[in-house]
Amino acid sequence: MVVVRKFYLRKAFFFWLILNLLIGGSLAQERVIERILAIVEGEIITLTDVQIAWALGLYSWAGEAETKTWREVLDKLIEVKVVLKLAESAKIKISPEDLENSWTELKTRLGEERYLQLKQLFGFSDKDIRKFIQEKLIFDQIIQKRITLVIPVSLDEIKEYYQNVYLKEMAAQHQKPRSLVEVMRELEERIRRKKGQAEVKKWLETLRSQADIVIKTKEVIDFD
Amino acid sequence: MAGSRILYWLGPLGLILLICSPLFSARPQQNLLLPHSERIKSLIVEIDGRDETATYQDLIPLQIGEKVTPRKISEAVKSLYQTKLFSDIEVIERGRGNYIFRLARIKIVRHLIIYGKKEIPFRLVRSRVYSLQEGAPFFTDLLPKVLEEIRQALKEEGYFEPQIDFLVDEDPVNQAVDLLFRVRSYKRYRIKSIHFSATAPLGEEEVKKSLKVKEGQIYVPANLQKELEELKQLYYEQGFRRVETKVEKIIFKPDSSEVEIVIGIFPREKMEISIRGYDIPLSMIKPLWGSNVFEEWALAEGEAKIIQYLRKKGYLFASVSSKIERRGDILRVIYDITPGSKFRIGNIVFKGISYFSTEELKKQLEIQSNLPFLQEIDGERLFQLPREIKLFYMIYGFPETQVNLNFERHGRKITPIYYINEGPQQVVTDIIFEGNKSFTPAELKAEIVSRKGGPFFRPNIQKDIEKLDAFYANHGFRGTKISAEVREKDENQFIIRFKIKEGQVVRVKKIVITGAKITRQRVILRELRIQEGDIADAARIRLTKSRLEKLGIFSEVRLEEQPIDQGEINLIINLREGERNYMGIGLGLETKEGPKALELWNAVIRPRGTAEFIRSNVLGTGAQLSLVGQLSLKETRGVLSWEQPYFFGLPMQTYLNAWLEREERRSYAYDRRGISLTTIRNLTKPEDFVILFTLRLARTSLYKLFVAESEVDRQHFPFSTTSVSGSFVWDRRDDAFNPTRGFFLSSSLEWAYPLFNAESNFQKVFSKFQYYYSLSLSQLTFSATARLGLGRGRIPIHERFFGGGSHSFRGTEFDELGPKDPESGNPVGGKALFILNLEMTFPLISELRYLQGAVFYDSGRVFQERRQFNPLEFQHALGLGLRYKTPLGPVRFEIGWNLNPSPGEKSFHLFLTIGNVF
Repeated sequence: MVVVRKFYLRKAFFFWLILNLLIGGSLAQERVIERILAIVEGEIITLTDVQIAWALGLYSWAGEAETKTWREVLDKLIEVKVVLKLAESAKIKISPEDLENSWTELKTRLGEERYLQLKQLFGFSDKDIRKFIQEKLIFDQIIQKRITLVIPVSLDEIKEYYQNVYLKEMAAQHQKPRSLVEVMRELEERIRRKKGQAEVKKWLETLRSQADIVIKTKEVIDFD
Repeated sequence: MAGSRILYWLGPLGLILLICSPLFSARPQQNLLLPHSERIKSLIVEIDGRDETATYQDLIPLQIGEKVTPRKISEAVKSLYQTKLFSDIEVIERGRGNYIFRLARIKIVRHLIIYGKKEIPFRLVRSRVYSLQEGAPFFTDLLPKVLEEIRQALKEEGYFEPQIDFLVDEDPVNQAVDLLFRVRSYKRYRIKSIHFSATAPLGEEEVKKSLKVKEGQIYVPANLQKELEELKQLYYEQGFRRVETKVEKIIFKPDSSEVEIVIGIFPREKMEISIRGYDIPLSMIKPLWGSNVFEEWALAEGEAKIIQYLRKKGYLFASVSSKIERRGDILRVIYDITPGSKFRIGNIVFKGISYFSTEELKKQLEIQSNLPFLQEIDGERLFQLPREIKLFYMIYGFPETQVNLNFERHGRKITPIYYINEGPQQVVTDIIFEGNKSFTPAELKAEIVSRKGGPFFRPNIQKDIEKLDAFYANHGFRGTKISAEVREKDENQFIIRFKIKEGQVVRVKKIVITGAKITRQRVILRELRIQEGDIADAARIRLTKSRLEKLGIFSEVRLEEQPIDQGEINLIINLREGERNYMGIGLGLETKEGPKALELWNAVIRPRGTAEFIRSNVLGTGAQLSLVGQLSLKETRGVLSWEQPYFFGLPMQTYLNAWLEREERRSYAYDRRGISLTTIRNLTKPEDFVILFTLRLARTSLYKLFVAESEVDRQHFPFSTTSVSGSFVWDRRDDAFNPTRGFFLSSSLEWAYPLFNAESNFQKVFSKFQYYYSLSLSQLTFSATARLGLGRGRIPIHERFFGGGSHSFRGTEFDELGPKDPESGNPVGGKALFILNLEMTFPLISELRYLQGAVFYDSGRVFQERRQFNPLEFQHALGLGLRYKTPLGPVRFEIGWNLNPSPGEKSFHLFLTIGNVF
């Protein structure tokens, strides 16, 4: 009996082992590798689009806060699509030099090795990346135009800024503040830029509210 | 022992290992959701949970064995979405290299039902739901928006804080969803008090009395808004044209379910409009002075309107000045008019023209040619013409044309003289194409509007780009980019350079047809004008779409191009079958004789009922079966029709009809039953020239005879007819029911042969020609119709020609024109007919533009035999009438005066009918 039991147990063990080796690595591991995350004016944004934008850091430049979560990246891509729709009629052109410079800047920022790795991982070509960059540049151009619209800044606003922000800044940095007259232009510029950014934000919100947008998923996709 | 124990436990341990094996299996360290494998081992397509790989695998632009990257998968998803067949797409990797495309078909909202307590105006609430609509695609993600819209709509109708349940009922077979929203509960508020915060010159009590919204009523925000508008109107009529009314405050008291409303009325100054010097309708000026108007603009606009009005009346040199006077709370707007003398405008003279002749210019500007007693142009257009002339010249390459208007006066008549300084003409000296590898410049030049040596007109360039774009698309190119550059070679000489970046020629790899549940595949396939393997000719793709739409069995036909690979597309034909059953009931009146009395039994104006049932797309063949019944006191008719778009494979609309009818005419009453087969073929596009062939078998019995039996072929009773006829119709009228321009010509030849023991043996030909001409300035329309009918052989009474009545000759009653039975005096018809109708219609009152007057002249006769045809024996009638235009033709009331009635016939006849004479 013991011999028989041993024999069968041994057989069972080897059976499980072989089964494990054969199918262990590939058994029923279903993963969603692509899906539609949003539809903007009839065009879709896929999971891959969001991953590419996140990996390339395309919308974290120019002093913006670095976008980390997938939802922030998705929101940014939605904004870009909505603004680019506007650009279609405006026929904005990006010069080859600007495109080339931005591409070089991207490669420098990522590092050559990482750049090649991402290219291989995602399967896109230099031409594809240039297309992403071109879209970003058009987006930036449109935003910049809005920011640099003639936005009036009153003397009262400069004075208030000087007292409530500049002086405190200088105190925090343990620096001697300059007089209002000396820094007036600089502060005017700051206020104008800030107002411009607020104006752009409001404008983007309005565009978004008017656009036909469907966000397809509220689940958290954690690919960090 | 120990060994066996170890072995004993290895089993379950192995099982645990197996279950947990995925955790230990080798996979690359990565922080992105990327496919594991490099090559595709298997590809499955699941649509709405069902494996549809066999049918839809071709839609996926990936192949088994292909190297896969996230970008390729992303492109595949985008390409699939472009087919507009799917609302959601997911790609799943199962193990290594096995990919599943999970697709959710776009579903259509079939019903959107909102229900609850009966008191809620659900129809109104539904009309304010925009995010999802019946017949539109359904997206789950839009449900919250819809709920919000329903809540907002309910709130506007006074149902606050509603609790709404919803249900989405899917019908996967028909790809449809039904949405049900149930309003479970809500709060209502009663109006406790209404106060006015601002001054109300009309007095608070008076205003409160005028408001329909009262204290104690249920508060409905939408009604309150309406009332505020009415209040505004009340003030407006009192002269406060800038009044503003708004709800200043609403205080909700949830405990007692009451609201207190505070309304603000801001009348501003009272406005008086005074027009001095001529009687101008105030209704023309008042709307300019609404609230928040820019005063300078309103003054100038008012002056312009007054001058336009006066010029149209002939006061060509009227002048107007305006001003505003303010006295306290009153604002007076004053227009002072000096109308001057009234003039008649003589024929227009153009001077200084060389590129066009006067006649050419008048024709192009649509200025009527010389007609006695009629002006070519009215006073308003007289002064607008210089701008029109300048625009016209610009199109012909003259950008600097100057036009000055002068007058020559002869008493009360003036002759307008337009001095035209044409200026230099800009011409296109050369047209160059760059980048065109596939077509020669000559081929491209033939497509565009601009011509070498022709006039240069900048807007034409955009048209040319669009035409070139279409040309390339019609030759299968996609992605072609065309731009144009204009260079001035010399003064007024331009070179246009078209820069073409040719795209790629694409071919149709696969045609996928979806959505046809009932319609047979062959019915759809025979309408295709493009096949798999053909180049993607955009014109043929459009033609395919229009042919499918023309079948009349689909409520929606969509053709989408899905790019799948370099140089290949899939053509997705997405169809939605329409409703198949139609039932209609109609009630109307018929009249053939003049209006003498309205007794139903006397049947001058008789009621008539119609019922019809139509079943379309019978058996999925695209054919239609209809049953129509008509019943009145004098006639009964039932027709069963089978209609199909093809005739033995030929694209000819074919009708197979079987009918039963019974009708009482002037001289006889008959029962007829028969069948006919008719095919129609359009020879031109647009379809204004058609030919028809008809084969008819009919059996007619006369059950009442009001003429002598000698008039009728008694030995051949009942009378069977077997006939074949061919006709053509050429219709170039602008409107079939209310034509003002164009012509209509039709002719038919019928040969009745004694086949199948039929008694018939005759030939008939009948032709009709109509012509319409309109003078747009004076809104006069002239029309003429001539009808000729000739017959030969033994023609029974019911097949002969008859004339007379409101639709042919208005000097006699219905059927009364022509030979009569000597005993009874009833008409017997004839073998020859000729009728001529000449008519002129004109407007009566400018405010009632659908009411017209008419004068007419009718002439003609019916002859018993062809050999008796004699124009000297024609009867003639003159008449007057009133017309009221409707979409189905004019309602006519007419008086005809027969100038040479037959003995015993009366001269005057009244007619009341609908539809044109002809």
